[in-house]
Amino acid sequence: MAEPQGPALLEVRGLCKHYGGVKAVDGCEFSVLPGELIGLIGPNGAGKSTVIELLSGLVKPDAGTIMFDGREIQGEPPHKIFASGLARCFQLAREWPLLSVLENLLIAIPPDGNDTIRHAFSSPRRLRAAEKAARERALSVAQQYRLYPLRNDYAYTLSGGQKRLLEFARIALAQPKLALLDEPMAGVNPVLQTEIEGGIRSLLAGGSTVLLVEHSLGFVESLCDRVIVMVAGRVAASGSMAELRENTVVQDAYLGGTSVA
Amino acid sequence: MAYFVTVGTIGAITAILCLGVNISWGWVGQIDLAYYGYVAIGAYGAMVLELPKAHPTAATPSSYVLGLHWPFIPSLVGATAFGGAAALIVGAIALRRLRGDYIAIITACFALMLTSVLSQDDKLVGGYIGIYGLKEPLNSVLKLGPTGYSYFYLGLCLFALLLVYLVLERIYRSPFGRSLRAVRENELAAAAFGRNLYSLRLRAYALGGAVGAFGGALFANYLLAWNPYAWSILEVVLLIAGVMVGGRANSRGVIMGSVIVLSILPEVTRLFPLLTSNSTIGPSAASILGAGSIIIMLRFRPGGILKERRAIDRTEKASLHQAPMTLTVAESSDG
Repeated sequence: MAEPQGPALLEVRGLCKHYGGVKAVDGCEFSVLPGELIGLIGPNGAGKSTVIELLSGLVKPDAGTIMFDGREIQGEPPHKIFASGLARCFQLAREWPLLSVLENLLIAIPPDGNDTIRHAFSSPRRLRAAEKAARERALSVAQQYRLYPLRNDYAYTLSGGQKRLLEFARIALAQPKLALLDEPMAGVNPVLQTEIEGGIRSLLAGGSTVLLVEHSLGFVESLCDRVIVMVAGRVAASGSMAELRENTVVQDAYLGGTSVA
Repeated sequence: MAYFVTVGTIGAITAILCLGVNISWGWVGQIDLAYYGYVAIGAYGAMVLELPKAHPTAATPSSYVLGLHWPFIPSLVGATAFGGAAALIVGAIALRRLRGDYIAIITACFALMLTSVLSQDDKLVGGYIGIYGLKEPLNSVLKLGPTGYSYFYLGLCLFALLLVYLVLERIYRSPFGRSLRAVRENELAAAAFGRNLYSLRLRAYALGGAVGAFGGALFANYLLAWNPYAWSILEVVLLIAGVMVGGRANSRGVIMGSVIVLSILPEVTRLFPLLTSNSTIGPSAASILGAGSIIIMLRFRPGGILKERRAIDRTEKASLHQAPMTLTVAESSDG
């Protein structure tokens, strides 16, 4: 089992989250190196999505530390965690339905202190320049994800697949140090899967580190060098897919089971 | 003609109040039942700033704080600031942890507490008697007759409405307004994309309180008196009805809805007693039609007459060629 070397971008230690008697995450420990594309797999109910919620701050952990980019971020509100460079996409697309596609993209760009009442009046030239730059970036990413022709449509009118692309385009615009992708391939047709794969690669090319939660083992194998296996709220093993296939714990808990997606 | 001037003046002030309610209900999506409290604070605030020191006598027993004898415009600004500050305090408590329905309940509690305090404490703003005795603002300079002055004040209120409309439109279209709408549409996603929900909601809430107080100050300067009976929690519901009928989060729609629900409807139903032998049918009919209009709108056009507009981008693709990352350019839309 290959342990990562060098300073980690993300280091999770003893992370716990219990819901009543259910130990959703129970002493989870792993680390992510900068520039890495790392997979996080595990059977349903293993706690993968809860880990994403805990990392992004939408759920507060009961115990444990999350060291991100040299700083402990556990328990911080989500907007602070986003500002420190950690962005996530949602398993079920969470678009802003009554905003246009372009507005959805503009919100993903960090406002850089411009979203105050004062800034609506104080320096119109600066605001206009910032808005123009943001719009150009948003439109070019919209082109990349084939959303350009839909830029003026309400986001709720998009199809499921287009909403998935919108999620991706938002992450791309946020330019995070670490992108958490929660099952981006779930319920997506093969053509779109190729496109999302391209999206993941362009996130990496843009300098982001990617943590990919995914059920489709084929994708995880083709994309990720290193994979973490979670079982019952904790990390059971990590390594390359080839190594994991040999691991008996993983075989029993996941790969050998009938629930493989 | 004087009748239309009166209706127009009150209509303009009501439209300002509707624009203020639209901030919390239209932009942020939460019901603020304390809103009339900020209107009252603005009204009382303007009066205690404008009036000279209180000298309660047997004939005029009203007593109040401050009495700074400020001119009209600074009092208006001061009253607006009072409303914003009050909303900031209430909002800091109500918005920190609570969501949706709970915000409506806790703001209603604040409003009821405020009414009790203001009406029971007769030293603060005159208790049940309220405050009166304000002189027509600016008329010491203008020296207009009653008719001329009523036209002047109508013009002033319309100008104030235009000002509030322009300011709010600018904020609505700014990154701040966009962030607020994202919070309304999906707060989890807004938080995940770096928006501080509490801070955004609080700032919007204070802005709404300030607009309400501004409208209240104009109202008090029109009525020249104010007491606890001048305003009740029901009025907030009617203001929200105006927003619903006209078009939530669409400022022009809100003004239109305000005119329909809060000006035309009550005035038209005022004529009903002339058509029937029932002398009290007017206000009842106005309430029935006002409430009915909400139900009809929610059933057939939930967005209101004028729906919220989304910003339309007209950039031509050619202008984007310099932009980086134009990897795939496809006209066809997926799925």
